[in-house]
Amino acid sequence: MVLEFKDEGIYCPSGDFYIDPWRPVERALITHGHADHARWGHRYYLATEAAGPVMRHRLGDIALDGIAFGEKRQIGDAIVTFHPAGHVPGSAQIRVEHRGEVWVVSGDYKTVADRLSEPFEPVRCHAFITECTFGLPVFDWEDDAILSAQLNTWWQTCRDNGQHAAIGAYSLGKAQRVMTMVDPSIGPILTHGAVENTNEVLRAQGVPLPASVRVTRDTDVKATPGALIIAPPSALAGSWLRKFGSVSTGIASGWMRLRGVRRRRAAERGFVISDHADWRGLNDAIRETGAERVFATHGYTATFKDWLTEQGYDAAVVETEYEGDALDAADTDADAPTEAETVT
Amino acid sequence: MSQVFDRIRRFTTRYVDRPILALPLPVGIHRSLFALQAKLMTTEVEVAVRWQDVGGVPTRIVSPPRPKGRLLWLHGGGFVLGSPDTHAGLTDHLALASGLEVWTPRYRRAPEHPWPAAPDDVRSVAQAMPRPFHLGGDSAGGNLALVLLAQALTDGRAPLSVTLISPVVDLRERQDDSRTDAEMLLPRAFLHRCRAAYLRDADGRDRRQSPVLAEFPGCPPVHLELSAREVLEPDGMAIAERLEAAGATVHLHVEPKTPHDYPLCAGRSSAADMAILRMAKHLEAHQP
Ligand SMILES: [Zn+2]
Ligand SMILES: [Zn+2]
Repeated sequence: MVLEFKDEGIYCPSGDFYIDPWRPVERALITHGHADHARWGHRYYLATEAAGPVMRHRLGDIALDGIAFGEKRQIGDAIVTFHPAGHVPGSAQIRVEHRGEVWVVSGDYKTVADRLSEPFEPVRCHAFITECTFGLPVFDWEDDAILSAQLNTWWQTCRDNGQHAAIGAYSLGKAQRVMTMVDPSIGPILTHGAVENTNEVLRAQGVPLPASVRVTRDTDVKATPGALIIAPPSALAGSWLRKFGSVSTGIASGWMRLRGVRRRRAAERGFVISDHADWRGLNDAIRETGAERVFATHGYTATFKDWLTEQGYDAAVVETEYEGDALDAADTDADAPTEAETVT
Repeated sequence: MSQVFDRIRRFTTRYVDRPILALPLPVGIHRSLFALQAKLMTTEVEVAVRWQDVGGVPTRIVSPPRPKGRLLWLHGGGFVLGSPDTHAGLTDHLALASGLEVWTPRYRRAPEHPWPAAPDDVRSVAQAMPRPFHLGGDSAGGNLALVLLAQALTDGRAPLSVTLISPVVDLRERQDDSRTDAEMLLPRAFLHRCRAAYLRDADGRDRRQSPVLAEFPGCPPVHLELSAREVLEPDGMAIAERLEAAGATVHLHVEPKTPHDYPLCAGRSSAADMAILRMAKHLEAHQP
């Protein structure tokens, strides 16, 4: 086996390294900066150059080496390359080759291009270790143009009603995605500190984002009528939002496809916007790898495995400690959808 | 989670749902209980829904992103219970999986409106609906779908495909009714009450009551989902034979260890999610 599944995480014996391990290890290759994939405590880290700044921002002073997309790196007897995953800026699938056998770890991915992340690139392999966060056919995303129109109509309506529009979006990836989807001519964009910190890191590495203003204690909310407020979803539930007076709340997440999740969040609007592949995306991606063996990690793994088996794949479920699209787990406190919606 | 759900549901079906259905409660109470339970059985999805008058029948229309066609779905509930709302879990998951709009009419139910009110309503909807469309139904809705199918085939207006979940196909009185032995969900007393409410004085020998007696010339491809050893498994087998004899391709899937009409638990049950996928695949395969 090119890769093995150990208690610490996905392990490559020929290169003696782990990919997105969940326990501290000597050498960790990291697909992207989300907290369930890039954890604290490893000795050496390797990630794409584009993922590096966010990881440093989140994990502090770590021993981090950068690699370009497509750059070949020999580690022990294994040859390693990173390929765009289309999930968040810098996110990668990791390809590992040993004696002509190729395995790919998808990390988190989204097959449809957006205006933020390097577009997903299918990688041919013998075995594919895939996420399946949204591995049910109900998860069928609309085109970005339609989602943009939904966001803009909502924001404009709020503005016309003298309200602020506040949207809950994970601070790395989703928040910036929303920023690239809205029409900034409608009004100013205000951001929660967790979002603005990430914005600053991404802007510094050259990711183009529209202007945004950090909300501080001194922010004069009356000076920004009809603003769009972007905050981690958990901040919408707390007292943080109170000073803005009349606010319409929305949440941007693939989980908004499920009515119960939106209701529990007490959000008025759910925008089905995800940085993960939807059902079709997962199926397309797997087909394009040409892989015969498929391992499903986080998400609706049991159903997805059965489905893949019916499609003729040699499929298996792998227990990992990835959390899927926790609405905002790593932003503030852990507050994922209940297990009914997340994992099987 | 979803496999755990399947195990728990096997238990609650036998020891909660079945005893409740066996009770001779007023129909209004059965309806409310079923509506309550239906919400818990599925994961409701946020998807565009509108109600529209179709041929004089209020019809719930659920639209997935980029709809590619239409499916007319007739809900089950023994001709007495159920509505487009109780079946929203099933229809909405199916809409998103297949990419089709799903139209679910609120046909009139017994005992207030006995046969032929329901098949008449269904026929009005089918005549007013934009063509072409796929046809399907579960349980008693499967009966209505088959009745409509037979009429449509005679009129030369075949649907694109047919999808059935455990249809009721034979309402004739049976002397040797030993069917309920291994059934998890449906008590015999409940079936008898539904039949009596629906047929009132009729004997079930009309082919618009028992479509197993109908003709299906030129029938399009059929996908049939049954639960192993459920009370309606013989009904399903009988209609599969009948349709095959008429020249139709019939895909039959019999799922073990599941109660009658288990795809209603879409989003919660692994088995139901797989059934949705099989049905969606069938629908997609027969898109024009
Ligand atoms: Zn991620
Ligand atoms: Zn993940």
